[in-house]
Amino acid sequence: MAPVYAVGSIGIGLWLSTLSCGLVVLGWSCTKQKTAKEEVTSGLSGAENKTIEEMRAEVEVGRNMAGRLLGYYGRIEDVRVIGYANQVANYVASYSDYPERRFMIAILKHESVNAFACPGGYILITMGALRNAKTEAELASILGHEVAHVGKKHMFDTLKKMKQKEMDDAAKGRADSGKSDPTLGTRRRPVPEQTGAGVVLARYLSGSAGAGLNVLQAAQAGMNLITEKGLDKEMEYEADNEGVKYAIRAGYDPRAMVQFLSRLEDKNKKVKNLEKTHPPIEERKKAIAKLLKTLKANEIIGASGTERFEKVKRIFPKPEKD
Amino acid sequence: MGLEKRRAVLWTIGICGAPLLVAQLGLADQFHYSNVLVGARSVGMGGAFGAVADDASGVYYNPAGLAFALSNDISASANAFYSKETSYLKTLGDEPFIEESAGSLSPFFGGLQKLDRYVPGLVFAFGVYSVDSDLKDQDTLIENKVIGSTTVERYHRTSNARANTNYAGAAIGYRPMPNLALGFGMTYFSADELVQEYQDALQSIPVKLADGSVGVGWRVLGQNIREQLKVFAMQPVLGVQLSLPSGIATGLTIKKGIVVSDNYTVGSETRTLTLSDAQKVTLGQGQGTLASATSSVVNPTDYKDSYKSMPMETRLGFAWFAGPTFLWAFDIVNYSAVTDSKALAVNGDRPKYNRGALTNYHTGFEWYAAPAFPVRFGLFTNNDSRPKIKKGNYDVASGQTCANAEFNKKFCGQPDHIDFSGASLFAAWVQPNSQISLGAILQQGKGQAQKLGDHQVQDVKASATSFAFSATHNL
Repeated sequence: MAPVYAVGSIGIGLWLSTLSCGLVVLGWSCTKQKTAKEEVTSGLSGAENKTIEEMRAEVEVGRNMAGRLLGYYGRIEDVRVIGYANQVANYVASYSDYPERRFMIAILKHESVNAFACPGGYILITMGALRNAKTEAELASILGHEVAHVGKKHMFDTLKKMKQKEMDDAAKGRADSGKSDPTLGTRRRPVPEQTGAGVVLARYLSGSAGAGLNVLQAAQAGMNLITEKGLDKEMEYEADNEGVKYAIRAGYDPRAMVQFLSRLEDKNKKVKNLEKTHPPIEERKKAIAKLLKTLKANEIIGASGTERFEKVKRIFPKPEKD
Repeated sequence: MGLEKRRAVLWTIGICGAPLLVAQLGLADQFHYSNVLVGARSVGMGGAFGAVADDASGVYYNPAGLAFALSNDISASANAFYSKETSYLKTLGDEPFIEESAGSLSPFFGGLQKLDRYVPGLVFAFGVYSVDSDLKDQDTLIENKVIGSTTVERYHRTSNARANTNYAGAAIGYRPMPNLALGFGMTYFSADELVQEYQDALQSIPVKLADGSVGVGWRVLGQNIREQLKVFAMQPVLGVQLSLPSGIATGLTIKKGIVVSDNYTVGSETRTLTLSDAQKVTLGQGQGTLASATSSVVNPTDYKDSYKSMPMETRLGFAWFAGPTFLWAFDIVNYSAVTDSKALAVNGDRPKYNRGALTNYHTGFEWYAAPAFPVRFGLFTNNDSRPKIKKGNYDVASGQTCANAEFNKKFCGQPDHIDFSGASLFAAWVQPNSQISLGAILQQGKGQAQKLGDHQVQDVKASATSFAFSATHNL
């Protein structure tokens, strides 16, 4: 996959507003931020304030990452397809351990098979992944997997636990796309360590930062994880298992995730990036099979949702070139 | 007769002919092209950025450089403090006449956005910047000054000026090949300069009395003048940059402004009185009779095509990216001559805004003393596009004086010519996504002038100091 660092969905508008808030009215923005924060947090305990601060940071990091992904891949704009994906995701989520959460699904204009769970509830699934699914149950299982990533804060906690050095390296990995570009490589400059004052600077220049994280740097590091390194394998197995559980609870066919993964095994090119950031498909299938055995899944009759899925499939946009 | 000539000559009539008052207006500088250095990093490198230009300031230095940007960014800078002093040596007898200005604000504000999602290798940037910005509010009072055979009892001048030369533009850079980038930009140019001066004086002059003897007479002079230049232009910019993996880069930028409209307005009011010693004594009580009075009024007059066109700017840059911690750059910038400006009757029939060809040199480096602390240093020239002062063979006996039209046009009241050399030094504090920098730019100038509008030539020393601040954020 080509390096991802374009700020797509952040867009010119946000760009300019960030600019005006961050640079031009530095002091004003400082006052306004504090005022808004005080309004939300007044009367709450320290722990509650901390939770709110953390949630805010989680959403900011996720939004930033989602923006970058959308900017890089582009998005499918057919509201019928997007609406369907959102319905399925939020339906599955309503049977997850996080029924109170709202998940926002977008479809990336790309034919590889992949899906991304950004902190805060931003889930992005590629058009290639949608096309590879044969039933709504399969789609529900994939989205359940991503819901589990978000709900269990896999990405956000990983970022929070990163030592500053790791964060710098991961962020640098994203920022320095010039690594594979010798010409840009000559223009690379040293990347200093973030200091406390640097976080304050970033806060006022970009209008964001929170929960001890430099949001922009965390988003860059998150992009490195999501597109290059991947999360910890155990997290992926956990998301597989939880996703399957959520789908079963929602009434879908328990075997759907295995069926979807099986279909990927002979699509080398389209799953190249998926395999880079996830455990081997064979291993994942084994782990899910083990779970299904534990759950006595062969005794569960779930819906496949094939008919509905086929109807939506008819309005899928034509495939894009990879 | 030209206005400036008239101002000078008014002060020199009489048998002593000692000139005093300034004939050249206090400010408005369309004749230097590097008064303000543009950009965030580039300002610290003395404006040597033609082969670098990989941030939003590429809109100004070289749009092709945008294509080599490492990240999206926004940046802004401002001159927090500015002062300029021009000293016309030995103008008031042995003493200098000093022009001062201060307190301008010259910002750069720009942003860069990579557009790989649409076209791989395409980058867009915009910039709003000022290349000259000045404010002047100077009050000068001189009393009881003996200059030659003349006593200036009182001279008072109030000079106010504001000058802004601003650009707002957008550009795209595109990399068709890994090492080659092309760029194109379009910039809106606006210059607005307003100068208002009032000066009055009471000066003693020798006069021939009725009995044939020479006695003391007095001249009272007052003058108001207002001039304003307004120019709007569009400036297309083309750039190319070659950046090799070895770290050597070179860039070429060509700009040519096309004047859409220009207008120079000038109006003045000049009055002189000549009176005897006795009349001068009673004048204060309102009882005197004026021996003679003259007045000259020039109603505000518009001159089109006084500016007419802009020079072609060709910037050739070299850069050496020696490693992540060191960058050295060198630019040669040539400006073509502008010779088609309309002559101004108020300026001794000279085309005031004709400018000669000149070349400026910029060099600078960026060195990371530590990953978070780069230091930027630069040297540059800021030469004057006005012609050098020509000294005439002044000779009363043969009529080679400013009263002689031909001599006058060649050797009297010529505009200043001041060449500057400058240095910039900035220190920055860098964080992974942000940086701020603070530093100063100093310029020292040397040249010549005919400040009094006559044949005499004064040496000039000038200096300008800016303290600037900039902030950049990568997205």
